[in-house]
Amino acid sequence: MDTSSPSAFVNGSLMRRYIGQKVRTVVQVIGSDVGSVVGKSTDDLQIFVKGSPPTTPTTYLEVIGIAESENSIRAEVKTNFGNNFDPLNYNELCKLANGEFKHFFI
Amino acid sequence: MYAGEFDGNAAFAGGGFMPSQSTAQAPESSSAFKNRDARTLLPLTLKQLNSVSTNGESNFSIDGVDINTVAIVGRVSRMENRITQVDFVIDDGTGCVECIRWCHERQETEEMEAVRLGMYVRLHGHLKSFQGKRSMNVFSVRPVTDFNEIVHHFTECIYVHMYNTKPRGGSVTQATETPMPQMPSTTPTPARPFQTGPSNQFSNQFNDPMHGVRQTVLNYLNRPIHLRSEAGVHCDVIARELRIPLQQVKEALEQLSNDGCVYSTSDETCFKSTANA
Repeated sequence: MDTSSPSAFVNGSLMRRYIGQKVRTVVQVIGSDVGSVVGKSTDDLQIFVKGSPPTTPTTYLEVIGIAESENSIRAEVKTNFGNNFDPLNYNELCKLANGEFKHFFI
Repeated sequence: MYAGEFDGNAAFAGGGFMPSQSTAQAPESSSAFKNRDARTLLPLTLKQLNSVSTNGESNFSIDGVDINTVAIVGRVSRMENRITQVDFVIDDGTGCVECIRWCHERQETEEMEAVRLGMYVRLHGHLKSFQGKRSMNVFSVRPVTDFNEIVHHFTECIYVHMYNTKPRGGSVTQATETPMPQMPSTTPTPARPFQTGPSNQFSNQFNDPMHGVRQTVLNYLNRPIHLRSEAGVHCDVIARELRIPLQQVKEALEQLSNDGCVYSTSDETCFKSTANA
């Protein structure tokens, strides 16, 4: 795992700011296949995740990886975030982490 | 004034053979922070933790608050088990920090056995700096099972920063009208740094006309003489002493009782504060 650079907390619409850089986001898994996951971002956008899903994926999945485009991530690390994760809170955190309090995060 | 205080610096300084930093050098200017209220458990992002100012190997401060113990939440990105300790690296997405957890007791070993590489954990520890490099001497590691805790941690970091940097009034009148995370007391409350602990149970009470009455009644019951009394104080007495209509006092007591701030003693008319005597 690349720990040399921080990864920005993003939702679907913030991804475009970090193309080519490391990001972390949480998606609601809509579909998964060998080597890829389709998810819904916390602000209701579709995100394509390249990389195999965990063997038993839960409703919410955290993905850390490189933002390849404004709606796709090449995943380095995937972590199950369970079925009771609150996407709205996460979405608000993403806004704070890229706005007023950006200096706390990246 | 703060004689006989608990020295957290010495207690949490690690291997147990560290000289006490606070007794070795106690500059006059920082003595105001050396009271019990300043012994904070400070939630920080690792970006914050790696950028805090330092004036030595283990004296750090951020937002004007001395850092004693910090709480961080992140992923275990590297881990190495040794005979007496576990070395690991925590990555919370904002930065990384090297951590050491000494495992002398069985309970400590068991706690670390539950931690796996790639897991999200919440940890509490003492921040150290050696040759400019930050590390954590950890004394509690707990795997995160509800991932909302991660979001909560970061929002708490923001909240605590706001709390510690916003201007605060030190006068009695302001202190009683400002929602403080601590139990209110009758003595003038100096501006206190944030402490994780009893959560802000007095939020949403700004626009409530009963808030003032509740506060006054609680302050009255928090007077040392009433805290010491076994029987508590009769509501008639409270109403008479405070010159507040009995009905309002009863309402305030009922609400305070629901909030867990007071309890009735011998019968439903005598009340005592839950604060420690």
